[in-house]
Amino acid sequence: MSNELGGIMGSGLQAEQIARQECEELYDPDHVRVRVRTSWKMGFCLPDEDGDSEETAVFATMTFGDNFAIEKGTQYEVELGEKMTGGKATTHVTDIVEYKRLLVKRNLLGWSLDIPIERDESGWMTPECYERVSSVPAPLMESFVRKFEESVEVSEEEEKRIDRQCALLFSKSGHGVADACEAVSLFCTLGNFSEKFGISRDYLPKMSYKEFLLLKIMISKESDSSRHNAPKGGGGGALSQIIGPGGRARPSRGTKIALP
Amino acid sequence: MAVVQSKEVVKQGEVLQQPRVDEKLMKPGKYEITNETTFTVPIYAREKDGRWVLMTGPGKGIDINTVVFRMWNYNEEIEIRKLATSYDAGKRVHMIDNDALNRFKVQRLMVSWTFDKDNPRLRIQHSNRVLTDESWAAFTQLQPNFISFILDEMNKVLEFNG
Repeated sequence: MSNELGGIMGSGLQAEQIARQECEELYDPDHVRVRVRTSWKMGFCLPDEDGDSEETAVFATMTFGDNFAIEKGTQYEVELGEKMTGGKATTHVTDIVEYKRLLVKRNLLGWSLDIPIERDESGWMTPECYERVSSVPAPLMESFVRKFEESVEVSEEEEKRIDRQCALLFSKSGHGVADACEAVSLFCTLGNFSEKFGISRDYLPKMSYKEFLLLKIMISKESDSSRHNAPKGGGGGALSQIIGPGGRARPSRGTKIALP
Repeated sequence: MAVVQSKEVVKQGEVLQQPRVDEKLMKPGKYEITNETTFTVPIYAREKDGRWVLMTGPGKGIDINTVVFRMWNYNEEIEIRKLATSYDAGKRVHMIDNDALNRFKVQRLMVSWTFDKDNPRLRIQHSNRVLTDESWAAFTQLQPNFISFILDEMNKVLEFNG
C-alpha cells in the first residue's frame, strides 16, 4: 500500500518536474537550463546519475545566427580524393571539437558553480573568464555541453517519426495523424494561428487557453466543412494543403471552395 | 623652463579589463582543476613463471605500484581530442583515433609512477608539461597487460566519471 502511494507520489513529483521544465521552455524560450547530478570523487566534482547533489547551467538558446557564426569560425578546408571527384576538389568541414569550445564561450550564461561568468559587450565570454570556466573538470563541463546539445539536436528517432507522420499528413487521402510529434504539432499550431490570426510564437504561450481551444475547434470545423464541400472526383481539387490543428489537412486560402 | 608632463589619461574600459589584485591572489574555486588535482591508479601484481600477473587487491607476495594522473580540465580535453580527431573525406565522418587519444592523455596527464623506485632509468620526466620521449618509451616498455590496465583505469576517471 505504502509502496503504491510512494509510486503515485513519485510520479506526481515527476509530472511536476516535467511541467516546470515545459513552463521554463515556453515562457523563457531564450534560455536553456540543464541539470547534472553530481558527486565528489577523489576530490573533484564528477557527473553521477545517482549522485547526491545537482549542478545547473543556463545557456542562451542556440540561434541560427549563433550556429552560423560558430560554424564559420571553426570551418576548415579538406581535400577530397581524386577518386571521389575525378579531379582536385575541396570541401569545408566544421571542426566539431573546436565548435564545443566556442559554444561555451558564446552560449554559457550562468551556472551554480563558484566561477562567475563575465561577458563583453558583444556577448562573448571574456578571455579571463573562459580561462577559469575551462578549468573545471572536463567530464562535468562535457555533461553540461552534451545536455545543451541535446536540446538543439534532432535525434535520428525523432527524424524517423517526422518522416512517418509526414507521409500520412501530406498524402492525398491524409486526414491527419494521431499523437503528433513536436515538429508536426509546432508546424500545424503555429502555422494556423499565425496565418489566420497573426498570432506569433511569442504570443501563443500567453494566450488564454479557453480562447485557444475555441479557435482550435473552429479551425477544425472549418477544415471538416471544407473537406465535405470539396468537389469529388479529383477535378479541381486542392493542389496544396495546409495542415490544420491536430494534423488535419484543409485547403489553403488560395483554393476555391464550392459554396454549400 | 621645466616642462610638466600631462598625466596619462587612462580609459575607463582599460581599467575594467585589468584583473583586480585581490582576484589575482584569490585561490582557485573548489571546482577548478589545478596541478595538484590528481588521481592515483594502484596496480597489484604477482610474479608467476617469470612474468607479472595482475591481481585485484593487496596480499601476500603482491607487489604494489601506483601511477598518478592529473585530472584534465575542459580546455585540455578540447586540445587533446583535437589532436586525435581527423576528418574522413571518403566516409564524410569525423574519426577519433583512440590509440592516439590514449597516447596524448598519458603524455600530457601522467604525473608520476612508482615503477622507478628500484630503477632510476624509469624515472618520469616532463618537458613543457609533456612527458619526454624517453619517459613515453619507458611507459610503452611495460608489460602489455599493465599498459592496458593503466589505460582502462585512467579512462574510467577521465571518460566514464570515475
